[in-house]
Amino acid sequence: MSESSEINGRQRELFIRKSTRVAASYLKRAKALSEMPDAAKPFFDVLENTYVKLADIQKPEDMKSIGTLCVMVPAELVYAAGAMPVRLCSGSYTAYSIGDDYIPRDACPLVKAVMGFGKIKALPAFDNCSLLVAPVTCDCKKKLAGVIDSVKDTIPLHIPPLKKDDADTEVFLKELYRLIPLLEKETGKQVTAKSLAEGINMVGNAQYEMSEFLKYRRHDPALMSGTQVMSVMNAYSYMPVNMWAKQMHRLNEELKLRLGQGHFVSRKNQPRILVTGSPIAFPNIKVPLLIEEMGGVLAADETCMGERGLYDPVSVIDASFDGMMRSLASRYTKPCTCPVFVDNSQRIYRIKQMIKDNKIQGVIYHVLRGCLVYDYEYQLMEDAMGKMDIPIIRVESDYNEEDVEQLRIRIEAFIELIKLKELKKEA
Amino acid sequence: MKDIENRVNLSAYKKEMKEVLQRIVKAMPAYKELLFFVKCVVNHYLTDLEKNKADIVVIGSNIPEELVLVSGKMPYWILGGSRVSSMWADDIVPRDTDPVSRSGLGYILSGFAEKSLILIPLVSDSTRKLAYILKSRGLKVHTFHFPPVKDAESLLEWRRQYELCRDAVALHLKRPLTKRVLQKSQEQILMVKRQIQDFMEISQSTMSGSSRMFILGSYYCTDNLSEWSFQLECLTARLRKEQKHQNNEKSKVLLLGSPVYFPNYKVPFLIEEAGLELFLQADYTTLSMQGCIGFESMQKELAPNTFYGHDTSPAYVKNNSLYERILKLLTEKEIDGVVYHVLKGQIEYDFELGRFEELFEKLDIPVFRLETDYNYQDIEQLRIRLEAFSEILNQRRYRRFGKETVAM
Repeated sequence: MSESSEINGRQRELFIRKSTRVAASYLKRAKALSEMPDAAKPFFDVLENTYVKLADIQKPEDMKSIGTLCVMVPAELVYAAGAMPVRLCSGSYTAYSIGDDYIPRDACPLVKAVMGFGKIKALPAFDNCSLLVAPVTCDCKKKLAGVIDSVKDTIPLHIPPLKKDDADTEVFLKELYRLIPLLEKETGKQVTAKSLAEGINMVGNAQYEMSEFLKYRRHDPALMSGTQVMSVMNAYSYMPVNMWAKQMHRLNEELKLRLGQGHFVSRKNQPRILVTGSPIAFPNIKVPLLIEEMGGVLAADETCMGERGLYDPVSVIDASFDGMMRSLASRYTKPCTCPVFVDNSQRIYRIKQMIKDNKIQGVIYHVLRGCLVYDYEYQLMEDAMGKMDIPIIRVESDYNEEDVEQLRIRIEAFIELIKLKELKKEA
Repeated sequence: MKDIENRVNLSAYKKEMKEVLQRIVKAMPAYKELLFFVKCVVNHYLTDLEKNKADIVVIGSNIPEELVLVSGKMPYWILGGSRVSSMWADDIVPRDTDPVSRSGLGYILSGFAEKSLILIPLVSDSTRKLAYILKSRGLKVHTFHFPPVKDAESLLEWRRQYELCRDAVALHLKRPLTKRVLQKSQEQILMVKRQIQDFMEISQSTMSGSSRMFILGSYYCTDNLSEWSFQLECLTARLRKEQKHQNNEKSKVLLLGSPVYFPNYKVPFLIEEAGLELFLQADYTTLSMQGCIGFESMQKELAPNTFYGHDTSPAYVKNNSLYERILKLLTEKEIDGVVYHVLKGQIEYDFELGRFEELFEKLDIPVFRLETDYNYQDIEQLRIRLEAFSEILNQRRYRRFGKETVAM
């Protein structure tokens, strides 16, 4: 069977109809949650353009797109090579069902969705990427890198499983050096010390805006719905970093105004929830939506498509080219709390800190079916939360809507439990 | 012993071992040379486990043997094949964890490796997380990372890992591991692997596939490799004498995919019960035991590089080494069908299946994907499916060679 005949015109038509409908409905639900700040609209427009209107990413015409499959690909380096990184980790249910035919049944849905988009060729944000950089993190991403090269040129990026020693960072540094000529070949532009510094500054600026945004996010009562926050952070994947930072600045200004006016979107006694675990990639925002629809406040997240992606800035101590490269290698491995690392105990410290900073009352541990690495860490998390007397619940989900009602009941019960606990405390 | 009994249910474990052993021994020819191998397995799985004496414990078969052989005695290999020991780890690992990792963790948690250095090759998600679980329980763990893309740069990294492992073993044994000592170990391993190749060639017509697997598996059970190698030589000599004409009646099946480790012989037994000949098991454990491409010309100082270059485990983005080995095998041997064995949770093998399906389709060799775990609930379903597969292979054989060549 030839590649073109595998997915025929009718299938493609059906795919487009269904996937745009699902994405539009999630956008509508997210927007309807509470009074969305006006400045958040551009982020939603970007998601709409990408997933509903199926338009290409708005960026300078001469700028190429480089697809990345994880937050461990340094965006700074891609910008330094004159291209734009596009995070292709998707939450599309329809692409997942296409990918299901090409990827083993028990693989995680995120990987299937990526493969689905690769095969269906209906998402310009994916199709217009001239290259894919696939970090070899978990088993599924490792093997995906081996099969997706049939649809798109792919560079596997080796991530060392240990990160404590300098020698491990050195391994990643070598990988980054190996990546440079491949990016240069693709874009026709050289990565220089100047362009790398610019890349670091651009992403640093976005990280600064993000850190400001997180300060507002921590506020109790909330200034903006958590699902909308997650959507804003997801939009980072499909926007040039300067544009995202500019819009984020506007959003921060509006939130500042809201704070001054005492304009809140939640009540003081609403349970504040933290979500952690497998990535929550648009349009699969059913868990954040359910939390907020059931009366909780999604006050923080420890996920790679959320806060983790832009949490830590690159700290350049030595401004030479090699110094900057070392800073990048260090930034993308050492503070990373992805469970693909052997020793990931710092994730627990990070979550403990977030619980304190964001006044969290309960944790929802999100596991995508087949995402074994996160599942392994659940027990550790459960123990840590038990010691802190913070309720935790594990919710396992997939890329479809069949489990929504079951999840709704469990999340609703969890929120009720937190409310009851707080009532008991007050009494 | 009592300590172990407190933690785990040893009687169920012993029963599991005994049942499989009895079945294997029953199917073996009555040669006295086989007794040594049976004893090896019994000692490893039952006596040694209770003695709590292992200096070095190795999880899986991905660590170059010379690194652990230098201690003067064989390490305790934990390959993980026990249904009962996999249950010992049930409360610690997620539901979807593969049974091999479960079983390996179960063995270690039974407590016999408390004073050992545990070497863990980081080849999958489970091994990474297992390493952390064991470390956080205060056990002495050293990890060995396999870069997932084989090139000159990753070879250097692999060499670094090799040296780090050597240092860790030396530190644990409090003995310097010099180049000369390592080379001596490599020589011994090379010799043993040649003998294994000989055995595999000769035993084809005289022993059943599962019995050959058992003998091969006992390599990881012996605590005296020289003795094991001598005994294998004796057995090969005996088999050479008894060698029959090639048995052409049964359809020959190649077993690919997830490795089968003792005592989980469910699949090989089923294959044989369905009237098929288990011609060869081709997974990374058995293939590495039989040497590798160009293994004769392998230079001693480059032996570690060769190990990495020819490793056929699914730890890589593209498992080209396995693909090449299978291609070579198909040019040398005649195979009627392929059973592709996938243990639940071992997703990498499922990813690799597509490429092999394409290959076998081109060669007109039927492939049968069989997914299972260490439980016995699915055995009847698997039996029916395998019998149907056997029928297909026999029909094809009948069409090719005529009625007299087909065993009914």
